[in-house]
Amino acid sequence: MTVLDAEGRIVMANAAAARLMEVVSVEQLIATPKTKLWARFALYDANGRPLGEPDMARVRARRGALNPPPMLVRRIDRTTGEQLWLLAKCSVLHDDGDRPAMAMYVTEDVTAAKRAELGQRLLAEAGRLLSSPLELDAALQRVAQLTVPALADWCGIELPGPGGHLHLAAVAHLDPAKVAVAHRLRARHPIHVDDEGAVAGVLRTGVPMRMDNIGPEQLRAAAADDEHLEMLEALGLSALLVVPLRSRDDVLGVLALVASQPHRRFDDADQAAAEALAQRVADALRNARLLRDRYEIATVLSAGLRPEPSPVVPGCAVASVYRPAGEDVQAGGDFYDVIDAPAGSIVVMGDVVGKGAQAAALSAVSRVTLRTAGRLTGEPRAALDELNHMLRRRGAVSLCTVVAIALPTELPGAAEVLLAGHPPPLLVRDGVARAIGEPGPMLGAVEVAEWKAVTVELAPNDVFVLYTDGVLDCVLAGGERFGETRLRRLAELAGDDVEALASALEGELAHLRLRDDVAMLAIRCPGAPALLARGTLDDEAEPLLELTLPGGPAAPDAARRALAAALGGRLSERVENDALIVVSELVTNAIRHGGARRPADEVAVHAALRDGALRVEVTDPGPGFEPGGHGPRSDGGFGLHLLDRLATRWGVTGGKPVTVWVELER
Amino acid sequence: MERDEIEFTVDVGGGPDGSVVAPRGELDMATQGELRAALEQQAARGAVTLDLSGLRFLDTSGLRLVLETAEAARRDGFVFTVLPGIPAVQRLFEIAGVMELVPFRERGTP
Repeated sequence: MTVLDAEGRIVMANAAAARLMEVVSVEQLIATPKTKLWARFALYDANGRPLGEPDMARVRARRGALNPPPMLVRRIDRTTGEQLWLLAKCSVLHDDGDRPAMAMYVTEDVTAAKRAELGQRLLAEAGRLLSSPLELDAALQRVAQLTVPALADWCGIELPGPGGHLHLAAVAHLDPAKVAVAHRLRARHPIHVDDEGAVAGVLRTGVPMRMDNIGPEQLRAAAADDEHLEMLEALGLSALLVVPLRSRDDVLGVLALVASQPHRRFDDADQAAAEALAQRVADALRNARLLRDRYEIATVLSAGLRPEPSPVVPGCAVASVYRPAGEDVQAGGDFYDVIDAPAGSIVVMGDVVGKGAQAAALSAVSRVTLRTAGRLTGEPRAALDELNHMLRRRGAVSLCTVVAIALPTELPGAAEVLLAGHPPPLLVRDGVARAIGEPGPMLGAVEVAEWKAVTVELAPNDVFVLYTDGVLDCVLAGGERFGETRLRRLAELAGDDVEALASALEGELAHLRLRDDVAMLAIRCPGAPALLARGTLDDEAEPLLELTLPGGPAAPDAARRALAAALGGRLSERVENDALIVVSELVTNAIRHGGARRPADEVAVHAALRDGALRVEVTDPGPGFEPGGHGPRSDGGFGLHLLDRLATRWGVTGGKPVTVWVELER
Repeated sequence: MERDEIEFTVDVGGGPDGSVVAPRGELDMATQGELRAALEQQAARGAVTLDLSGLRFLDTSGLRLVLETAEAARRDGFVFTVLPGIPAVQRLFEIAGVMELVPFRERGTP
């Protein structure tokens, strides 16, 4: 407490006032001239604006008022750099003539309370911003703004950027105009993570750094040239506090706080507040990264890594179940694929060791490797070799189990099954399931390995069931494992109805706890030719059309007209329309890719009805049929995709000439 | 069906938003070239509407032409609009799963 007379001289003071003004006694306080007393300190208002002589004059002028409002002043000791928050209250005492005679100042040191309040508000605000739906960059910018002037005069948030340079992700300055200077400074003088300065150092070491008393000499030493120095001086730099944005063991970036007020220094309390704030920011950064990684994985996967629900195996009915164990990830470590190979299709299913995002990534690489090698060589064994090789070359231990089944172009025929650490597929025939294949080593485990192919002669309507461990490892309500016996029973119950098997398994899984990703693929071979065998009618079929057309662009139209006339409205309009699309498609394909471009190259069109099902066959001279992919026979997969959607069943027989048959049920 | 009576033709007329190209008959590998030429010619003028209502039939040769024109419109920056055809024609777009790739507009809407 001090009491001033009308001239502003201190007439009375207590010991606390002397301590506050940093003089040894009350007597000295009263004896020291006012200007000399105040010259020791730099004063700022609550918003960080310096209180100069005009401000002080205004403060004095308030003495005229009866109840001047209390004023919060930030006072910095010019010698020690100590910062205090002072709340000054003033009461005016009047003389008999009602003139202000004396003013009593009660000045309270509210530093502790003010700091706690600022710190808490900072953290609360930062927490709110960082968890808000703001883009991370925008949130960081707002956080930087929060620290000014509560904690510092300017603030930068630095993150590692491209090329090992630091990226100034956010910057705030007491003087908004200086923000541009900060950005310009950084653009001219980028900081590399290996640089010597404080910011790069903290990023490398994760140890906070404080620097006080930065004077003109230090600035000059730090500046590369006059222009650099000019910018540093414009920004103001008298004390620096750099704390790491640390998440677990990683330093994700740094929070740099700068005091530009001369003599200001950062103390332990400032550092504690900055570190608490940095923790919030680091947590938010880490979360944002996790979120972004997941988002990227989900996006990439939905764009193609997740296996197709119903891959096309020409002539076969296919059903699948695919359930990644991670709830927020679209795909997991399990995969399957159908690869078009020169001599047929290679069906693969795999399971990479691991879970979540990394497993999904490895799974994608494995799938691509198998696909490329399978397509080029047509050899499942070569595909396994290549993947094994690839996994061995990867730095980390990368393991993958695979089952590969090579199916011939003409089905049913001889299939080959190879196992690389994968559970053996089931072959279901006449309601009985048996496991096929001889165990071989997992891929990535050994440098050189042999996988023995087991050949099985397929019969019409045989069903292959491929699955991953995840199916067997599901946990039943009682804690029991789902196991192979249950799967076998489901497969036998479903018989040759692959859709029924998929639904039954989906139904089971719906109640089960998944321990791992789950994949199941069921493939049914084409049945015995129902009506026609390569243009030959069986006794019960009713022939509709036997037509030979000259090749050339007019053939599809001719085939449609002939088929429409032969049907004569006996099928529903929709089935008839589908049949016309089908015959048009098949004949177009025969001309485009089957070598029937010239009139001399004939295309045969056969159609017959039995039990209300329509079968259409188109035979062309054909160099061979390459289903599914982007071979010369396909319209980029478009025509085949369409056939697959329209047909109840379809298939390909022969090599040269080739017959494509399609059955439609009404 | 009186298929024999329908010859394939391509009518080109004016509309409020540029030319309207209206194929009639059946669109397949034999006829798609004529329609392609008409579409390309009109597209060069900045906007073209393909009216499918006169088609009796469409297969993937025609479907591909429509998709390629839609792609060219995006790439070359002309306005391409398609007026839907009869259900049998629309079914092909639906089965092929390409409805979203074709800029369909209902008749009479802007």
